[in-house]
Amino acid sequence: MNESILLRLIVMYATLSLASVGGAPSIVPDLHRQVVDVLGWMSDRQFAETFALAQLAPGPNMMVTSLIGWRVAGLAGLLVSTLAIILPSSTLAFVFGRLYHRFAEAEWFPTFKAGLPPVVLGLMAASGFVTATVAVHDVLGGLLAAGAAVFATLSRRNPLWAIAVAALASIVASRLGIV
Amino acid sequence: MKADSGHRDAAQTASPSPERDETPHKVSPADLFTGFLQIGLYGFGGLAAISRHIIVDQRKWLNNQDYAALFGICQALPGGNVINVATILGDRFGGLAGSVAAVSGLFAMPLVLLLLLAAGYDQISGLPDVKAAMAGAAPAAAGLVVGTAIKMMRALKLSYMATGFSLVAFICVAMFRFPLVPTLAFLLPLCVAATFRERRR
Repeated sequence: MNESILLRLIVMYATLSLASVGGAPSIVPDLHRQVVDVLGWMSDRQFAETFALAQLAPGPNMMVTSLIGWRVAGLAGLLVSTLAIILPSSTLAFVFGRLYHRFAEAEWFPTFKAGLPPVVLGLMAASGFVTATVAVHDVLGGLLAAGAAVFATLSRRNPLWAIAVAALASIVASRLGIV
Repeated sequence: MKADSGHRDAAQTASPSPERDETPHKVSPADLFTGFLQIGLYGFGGLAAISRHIIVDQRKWLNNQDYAALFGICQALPGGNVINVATILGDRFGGLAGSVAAVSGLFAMPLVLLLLLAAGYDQISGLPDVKAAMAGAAPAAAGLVVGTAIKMMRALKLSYMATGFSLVAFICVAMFRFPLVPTLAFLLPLCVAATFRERRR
């Protein structure tokens, strides 16, 4: 049983690794689709918590995949997930890195590169939206999500401030019995 | 996700600098490991800014211009931007061993801290205050991602055509919950082709 879970993790993450143009945000909606909707490994609430914890720790935000691996299959799941999400894309980067100057100086490269962000940013917004739909359970949550979105849009401060303030606001609200 | 992921950062760091990439330094795999260990460890809330700071300002492995060029390549490749930076820079200085050292350094401490955080959270997740904190933190973490996407779209001043592609990508994945791989396989080539057409005029 456990081995089939590990195999499933490897296949899922190795595929997503090659599709992760734009980094972790691009794959989060699909991660939720597979882990919660298709495989039923986690509830919506657990997924939202896992996502939030991964945001709080320092380091690459791809680690959300490591934490999901750990949640569903322990230490083996963590190791397998981390390697499966890194190796395919890094192998590709390794090869491209060796052909680096051909790309960096090619005439078509800037235009090619400019063609990626529209789709990538649409996926990023989708990632936030999907996570918000599973993380928001009440009016306060909705307000905090909207507030954090405005904060990130307008402010250049570290995004962790928004998470800290939201957590505090939520504690205060619950102590006052508002929520 | 974390607010600082790259497109904006690369634009800021692109200020020209006179010297070309001579890679004059002797950078060992051990240096690469510790350098990327720092990046991972200090990278709270996003790695792009701290990665530039350590690589360009502190360790002086690359100048601003070369870093921006490298970051540009890394954004165009699948995978986390800074993970790709570690892979390529590690290889440039130390071959395969350098790559492995850099990527391991990047993940070493954050993975340990994340596990401690998650284990700690599991211990106390039943407490009312912790439940309340998570009920606030999780929506905020999600909202940040949406805000970051909006901020980057504004900074890039996307054309109507490009904005259309953003919208279609968003609707496919967020509303219809289409799988990522076919969506990307369809939209990315189309968007790149449209960008080529738009620029040729």
